[in-house]
Amino acid sequence: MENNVKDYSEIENGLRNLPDKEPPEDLLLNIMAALPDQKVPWFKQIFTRFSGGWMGMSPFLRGAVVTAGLVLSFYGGTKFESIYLTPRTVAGSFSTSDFAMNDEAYFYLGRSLLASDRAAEAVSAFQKAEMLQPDNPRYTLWQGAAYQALGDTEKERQSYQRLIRKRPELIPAQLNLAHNLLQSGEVIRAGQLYQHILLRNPREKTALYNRALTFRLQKDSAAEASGWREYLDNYRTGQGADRALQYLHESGDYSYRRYQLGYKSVILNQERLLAGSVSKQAEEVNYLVRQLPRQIVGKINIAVFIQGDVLRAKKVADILRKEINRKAQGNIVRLSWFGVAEPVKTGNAHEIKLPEGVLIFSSPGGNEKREERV
Amino acid sequence: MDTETDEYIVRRILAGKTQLYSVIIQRYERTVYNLMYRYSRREQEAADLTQDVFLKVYDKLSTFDNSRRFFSWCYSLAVNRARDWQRNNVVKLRALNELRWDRPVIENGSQQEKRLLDREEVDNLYGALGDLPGLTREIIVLRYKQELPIAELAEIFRLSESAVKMRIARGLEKMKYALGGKRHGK
Repeated sequence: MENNVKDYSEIENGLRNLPDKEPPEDLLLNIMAALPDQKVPWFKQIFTRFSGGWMGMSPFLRGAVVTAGLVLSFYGGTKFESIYLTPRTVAGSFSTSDFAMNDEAYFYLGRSLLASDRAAEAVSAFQKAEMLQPDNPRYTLWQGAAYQALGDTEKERQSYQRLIRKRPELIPAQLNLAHNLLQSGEVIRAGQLYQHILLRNPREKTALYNRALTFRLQKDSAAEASGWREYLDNYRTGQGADRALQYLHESGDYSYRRYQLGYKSVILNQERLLAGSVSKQAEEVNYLVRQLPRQIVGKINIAVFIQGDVLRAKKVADILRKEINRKAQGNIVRLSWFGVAEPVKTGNAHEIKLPEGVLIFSSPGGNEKREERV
Repeated sequence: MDTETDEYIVRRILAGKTQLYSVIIQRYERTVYNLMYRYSRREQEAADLTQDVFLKVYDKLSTFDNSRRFFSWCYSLAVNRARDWQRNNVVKLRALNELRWDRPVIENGSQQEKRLLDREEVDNLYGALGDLPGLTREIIVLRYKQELPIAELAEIFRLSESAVKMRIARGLEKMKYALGGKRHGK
């Protein structure tokens, strides 16, 4: 029942926040132009009748009236100006006319305008900086950022493309262009560009993450899973890691899992931990030991599950214990092993059985934040 | 003028201030346009239908009963126009979730994924909405996007309040069923 209420409220919130389509800009004008002629109200008719008196005047009289009107307007205008108009100062306004600005000044001006949500003016400042110093890639890059703030994806893209033509090796420009393509829905092109970036910098974080995302959007599950795993190979903390883990689990891939070690929540590659060979385990064990809290209360409990093969479970468990104890320089592991699948509760409270799994948790004893099964 | 009620503006328009009709259009063109877009699934058609609606509303302005809410009256004309169009136009409809919808702008470039996830979510929601019968869909959209009370929905769609509630409940149930698999990645 509670699940039902929650599901409905998610749908309802989604419905409330559904984006709308923008009507064409000229729709209002077209409608107003198409409105039928309105009947002239009675007071307008009266005005029209009296204004006919003007036409009845002699030219000399009309000239005199016009002249008098002009004189009165001039006098009234000068009076108004002297009484009401005062010099206006606008807080925070920038005036560059009084002193010469170099490219760097325009650049910093642009940065501060952008930070103040004045993106249109920021574009102009960056353009001036670029005109004065076309070889400085920062100016074009930030121009792109200003266009992005304005929502002008096309001009944003052109900025990055212009920069890449001048400086093909510049990764920030390629990265921003890839983001622009991704935002614009050109998922395949974006993925290709991220891949190109990763050839030059295999650990580029955003490229790693977004490449996996492009596979997800293309519904290429195998490539997507591989992408998330590669991301987690390099980055195990932060929102990106959380999400990568979630996506892997959604597809039933539990090669990476989250474990509670003391107060720390740590993502580990359980496939490598279960590898049963020291060389493959080594890197993961190193990482695990580095994550251990300095003061461990009690021991680390490790339980290895291998369905139908209790002997292999024991062997794997033994190797794990030896390695961890060696790296941690102490006897900190309490071990168990089972020849059955590991029952695991998923995020939406379903239970699944992992044919092979390793469970790691710190033991109680002064540690109030006990580990729950992942 | 932006803060004046619709009913006040209508009175002013009827008194001769035709140009104030632009305020009415500005307030409701997006809602009406999106209604027409959901029916026609084509931008130009939606724009033409929206224009039709506002011209009709203008034409019938003198018959508007000030004791009613203007939006309900205007929207019921729009719904009728949409349904008339649908009856007369058998077209091959693209699924709602294949149509391009404008996304909310997210300032931070690193928020792209949220935008894309939102798009998935939005596409799924529109897909589920597209599977609903037209009237149920419109009732649900108005209920949640415009947050109209049941009584007003009943007035717009000329149904009893219990019929409106039933349609909403059934529509949500159907959407939940349609979305259930996609939500859990199955």
